[in-house]
Amino acid sequence: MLGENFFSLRFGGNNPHIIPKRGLIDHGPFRRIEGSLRVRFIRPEGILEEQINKLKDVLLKGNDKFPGGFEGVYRVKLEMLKEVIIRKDKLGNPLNDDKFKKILCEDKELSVKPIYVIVVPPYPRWFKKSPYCLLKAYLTRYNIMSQMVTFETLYTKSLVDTAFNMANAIFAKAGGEPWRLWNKVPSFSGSGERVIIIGTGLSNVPKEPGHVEYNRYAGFVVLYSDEGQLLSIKTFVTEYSRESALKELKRVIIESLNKFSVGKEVDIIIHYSGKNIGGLEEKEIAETLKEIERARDIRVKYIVLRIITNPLYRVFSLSENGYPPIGLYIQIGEKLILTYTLGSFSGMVPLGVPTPLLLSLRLSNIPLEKVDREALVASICEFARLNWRGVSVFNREPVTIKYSRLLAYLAASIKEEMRDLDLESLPSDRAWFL
Amino acid sequence: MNAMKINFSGKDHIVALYVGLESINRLRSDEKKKLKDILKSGDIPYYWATSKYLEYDPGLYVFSEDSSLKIPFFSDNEIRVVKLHPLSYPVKFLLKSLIDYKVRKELEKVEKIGENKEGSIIYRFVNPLFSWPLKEWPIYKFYRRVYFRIEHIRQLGGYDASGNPIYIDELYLLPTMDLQVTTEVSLGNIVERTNNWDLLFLLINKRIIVREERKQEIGLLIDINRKKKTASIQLSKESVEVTLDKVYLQTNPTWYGNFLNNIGSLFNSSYDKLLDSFGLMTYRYEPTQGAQKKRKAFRNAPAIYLEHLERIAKEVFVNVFPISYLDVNYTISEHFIMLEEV
Repeated sequence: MLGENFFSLRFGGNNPHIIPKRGLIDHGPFRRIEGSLRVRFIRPEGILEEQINKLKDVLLKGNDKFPGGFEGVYRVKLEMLKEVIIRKDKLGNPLNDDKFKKILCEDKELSVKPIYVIVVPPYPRWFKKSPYCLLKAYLTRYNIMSQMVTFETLYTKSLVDTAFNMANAIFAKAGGEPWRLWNKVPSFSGSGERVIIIGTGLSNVPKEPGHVEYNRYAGFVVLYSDEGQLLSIKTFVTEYSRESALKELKRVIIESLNKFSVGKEVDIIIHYSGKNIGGLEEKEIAETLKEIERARDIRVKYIVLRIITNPLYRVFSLSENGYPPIGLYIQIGEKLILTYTLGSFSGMVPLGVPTPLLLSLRLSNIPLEKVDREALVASICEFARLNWRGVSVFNREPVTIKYSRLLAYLAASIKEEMRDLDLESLPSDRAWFL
Repeated sequence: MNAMKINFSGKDHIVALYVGLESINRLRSDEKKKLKDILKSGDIPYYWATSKYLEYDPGLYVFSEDSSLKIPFFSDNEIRVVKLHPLSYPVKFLLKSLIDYKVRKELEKVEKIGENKEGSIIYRFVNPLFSWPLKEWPIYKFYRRVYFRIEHIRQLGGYDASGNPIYIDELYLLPTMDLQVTTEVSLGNIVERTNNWDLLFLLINKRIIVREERKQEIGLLIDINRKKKTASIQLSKESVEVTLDKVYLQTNPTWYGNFLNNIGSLFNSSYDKLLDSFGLMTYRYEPTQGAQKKRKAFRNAPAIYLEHLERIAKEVFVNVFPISYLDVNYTISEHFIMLEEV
């Protein structure tokens, strides 16, 4: 079982805490933002007025659960710019609303752009023209970050929780770092000077939403340091051909890794989920790493982990009301590890019956008996705590795979809406997709 | 762990018919599909391996108690008889199929509803656990679903005199369960039964399902036309106007609180009762007590789930054992395995 130190997070002033909310309130974020942060609300006419005003109030002034509001918690001044009210008949596509168009024209010329908080109807994200994708795509072109909040969230969820979760995502999108890992992910080979964790994925994108006819691949590569620093995010969209997707995957891995100094000997742990990466892609990833090894004259030891998110295995504890402890791991045969990222943790338990993750050790250039299993489990359990989309204690999936679908669909929609937009121009150093 | 060990007695091997990959590769894709269809429709267990795994060569392993079985598309000299250990990797596919066959034939209380992406078989108890607001007019029905798969584990048992590793093969049955929620009453039927049009306007800007013939699609309810008895719906590609009998709620009742609260009061079956059952059956919330409205999280969810799962595993899977196949008798442990901390 992983020790509790693997679950601590690092906040402002290098202070540790196991609970994100408390860590932020007591010590502030790990890396602050210089200057102030500007936010503009875009909201529908005539509905949810009371909830939105309360939400703004919590963000600005805070309350006992979010003391001091955004400024109190994230240690940066929040400026609330004049809101834009969208006409009811333009809710499906606020880009057709004149007032919105005018403000957008002004904002896109600013050197420090505001972050838009946009209240949207609960259209499923995969809708071709859903306001979520449409606006994200359009605003991304002008480097305006956006935070969407649906009607449903405002009607049904606690406003304080919503405000805290939103604030965290807004802070990260503005370039801040809410927290890092307290404990570095150890070297699985025992000799790596540095450890790099790569999350990758490939999704086939349907021609029409909900259909089974596909015409593109969307992929992503996200790079983290062993202490949970987000180093790089890159996405790509290709025609529906395995060869093209593989070529792009290879290019993006090389480009991402080449941006960083990794010392003479580096351990690379690759996480992926889903079935679109198979034997061929795994081998290509391994070849790519060999190429990097040769070109940069470094020693790379890698391991490829496939993460199965919905296995049938369940483990129950005879005490603790049956909850398995967080960080529990069980070796199944030579190549499988079952691990719990959710479970009993410092007296807290998640809702319902926790589902484990199954890790399949797919490929490595060192013998499997020499691989430190605890280091691999740490890479999963620690990275499940890095979700900046909210401030929850419990997250089941590591961030390396959590947003694969979201990133892939967003990249595909952005490309569809803005054909001339180069995905390379998207920010690679911050989690714009949160 | 939710794993039940499978043991065997009798013969020390299972006979299978084997066709090598070269023979399979000469089939066209439509022929391969036809071959799979023939095997599936005849309830003939098989293991189709595209690459070597452990010591088993890629190819098709077909299991049959009928020694005269012919495998279509292949000549006799392409088919070999192979002997497999009763707990070997390919035999897990045989056991999966034998268990499924017996559950389908012997247990009327469950029905097979398919397989998931990982190849686990899914059954559903025929009788719902709960219906709301009325048994005879259920907007929501909650069913218990049960899944199983067979897992093969190879353990290192030691070394022989020459220092070669000795492996031990084991097979386990893994059962799990979850809740399936279905919605079976359309908005058209709701308005017919309640004669209350105002209720439907509480669903504006909510996600709903449009069902037409065998297809269904998620959409956003934009408007209701009372005169025409239709709904305007934004689908993924287009806006459509459909009759209300094609519009259904989605399966998570918490998305329609206000609407369902009103429905509950009309049928003397409260929305709280629906939420309590939903919370209980998903092992997330304990029922609300009296006037106390705030729902309390289940504090011993895994312990209760385990108790229910063990009971259901006995009812469905232990019940169909022993299973005999070509002089090999399989039995199953009634209890889940215990793990010890290392």
